[in-house]
Amino acid sequence: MKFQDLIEEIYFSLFSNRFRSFLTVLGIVIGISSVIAMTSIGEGAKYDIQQNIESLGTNLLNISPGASRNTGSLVRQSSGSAETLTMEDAEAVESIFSVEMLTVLSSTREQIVYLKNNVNASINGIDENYFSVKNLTVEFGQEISVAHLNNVSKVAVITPELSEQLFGEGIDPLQKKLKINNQQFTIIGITESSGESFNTSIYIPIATLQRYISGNNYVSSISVQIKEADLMDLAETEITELLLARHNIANEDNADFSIQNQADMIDTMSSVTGTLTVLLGAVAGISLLVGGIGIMNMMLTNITERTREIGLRKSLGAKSKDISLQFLAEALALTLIGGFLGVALGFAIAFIIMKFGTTTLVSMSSVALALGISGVIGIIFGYYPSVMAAKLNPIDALRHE
Amino acid sequence: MIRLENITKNFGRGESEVKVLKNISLDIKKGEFVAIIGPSGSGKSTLMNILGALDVPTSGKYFLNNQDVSLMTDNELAKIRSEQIGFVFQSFNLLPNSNIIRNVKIPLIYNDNIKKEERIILVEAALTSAGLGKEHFHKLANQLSGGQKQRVAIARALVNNPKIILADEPTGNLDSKTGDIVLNTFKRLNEEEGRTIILITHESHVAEQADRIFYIKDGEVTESKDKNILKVK
Repeated sequence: MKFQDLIEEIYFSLFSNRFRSFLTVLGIVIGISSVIAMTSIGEGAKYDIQQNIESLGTNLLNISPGASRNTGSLVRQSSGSAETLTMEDAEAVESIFSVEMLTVLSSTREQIVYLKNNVNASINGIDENYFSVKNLTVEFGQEISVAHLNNVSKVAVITPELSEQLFGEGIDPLQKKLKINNQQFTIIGITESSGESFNTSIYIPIATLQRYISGNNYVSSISVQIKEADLMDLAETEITELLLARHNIANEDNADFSIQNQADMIDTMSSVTGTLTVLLGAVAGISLLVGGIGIMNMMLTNITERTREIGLRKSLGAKSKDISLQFLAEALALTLIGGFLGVALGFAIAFIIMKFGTTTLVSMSSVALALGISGVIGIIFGYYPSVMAAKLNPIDALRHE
Repeated sequence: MIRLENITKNFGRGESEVKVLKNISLDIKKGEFVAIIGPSGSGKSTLMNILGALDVPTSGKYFLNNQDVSLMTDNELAKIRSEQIGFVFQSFNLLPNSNIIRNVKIPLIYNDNIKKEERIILVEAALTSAGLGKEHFHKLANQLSGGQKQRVAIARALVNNPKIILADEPTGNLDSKTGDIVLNTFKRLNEEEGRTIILITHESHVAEQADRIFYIKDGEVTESKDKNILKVK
């Protein structure tokens, strides 16, 4: 039997059972498209998180005061609340060779008052590098400068969300004065909107915060930008050793600070979303399995219905191999047609989900996997019926009513 | 051309064993028109299956063109069926949703000796030889009358150009007038094209068309020289 004949036989056989073929293919289409769509949601979430983490700044190490993350305890003090890192620590870290730039942050929460309006906001004492290290942009007005730090100026940069809550919508807050802890601050800049309405932050020079608000020398975090990605691990070791020495701690396990590596964060989040992807894929995989059983059911029904035809073909010279090949190829054709349509539908569903605001990302590996699985399902669920068909005795088959 | 030597065929095992064919020996020469007649349950279908290389005997030898068919494997039997024997069935066994040409073509796709380009020529020649007009070639099988269907089935049996045509009750589903037309087709294939025809039937007037008649009853075969004997039995 020639390959072209095989194709022709499959076409006629599937086409003469159009409706049943359609339903069977539909099962596979639903299975494959849900695998594609579901994994695209997982991949999309992963992509989103990576983008978010990267937008925090590149090649970043974050030093926080308080116990190390390796203690194994589930209960942690809130980040930055411990008082173990100082401005002097930051100056020492800045002297390390691999450090490109460094910024400190000392944050607290206070009531911000403008006329009769009160907003509880996070007060961030920062230095002149903060905006560039953290990838933040001041959209209107100016940033906190070295002069502001040196003069311990009472100036502030606020988020547009805070501006809206304090002054109302559409009001230009520049040069307006607000009060924190009874100290009057002049607004000199507004950051870009982060799109999150609860982001009510105010940035003031760290020296000002330490003198007028917190009254101490501690910092909540030191963010260090490293010169090259390759130097991250080295820098992390150097900073750890430096700070351990400065704090007179011999054992690293007792460290009173912790260093977070951006790459670690991405890894952690990726493994979470990876699990999500696998979970979604597995749920969708079940429907694919059901589709496969549908294929087997159709092929077995076909054999019963076409017993006479099988007998006839054998009497006309078909070998057992020809018969089993035809049935196996029919099953494979059904799953592959279903596979391709399913991939197309999966793309469409992912696109529609995207329109509704959830990031989706169809990876080529999930497409390849889905098509591969559909092929394997065709072979597995088509094999048994094809052997059954080939085994039929031509005489019995011809007598079959 | 065909020689059966002491063929037996048993079904089942042990106590439930049934001896369907008992020690059958017969000779059919090239170009003969032979009928095998017998009542239902006589074993004539089993005999036909063995003659048609669809089944192998329990014991005994079957020589087809001096080849011992009784020792062949499944694949070798399939090759014999493909190249040497054309089958015609009582219930036509056409693929209902396929057109005439495709139906007649089926034996060719399992015959590796025939090139794709030759197929349509062979199909049309077989249809013409079976007496079916060109106007029907593209009709679907389920649009034809019984007589036309059987002629398509005959064309299908002829398309591989086999030396032997094996017909199992070919007129069983037809009225007597169309039955006669089909019988005449067989006679013509025998007389004009020299094909060996083996016709299995339970009707004596059909068997009478043959040159020789074998009578089968309870698994045993006797050749009747005198056609009139049938009417007595």
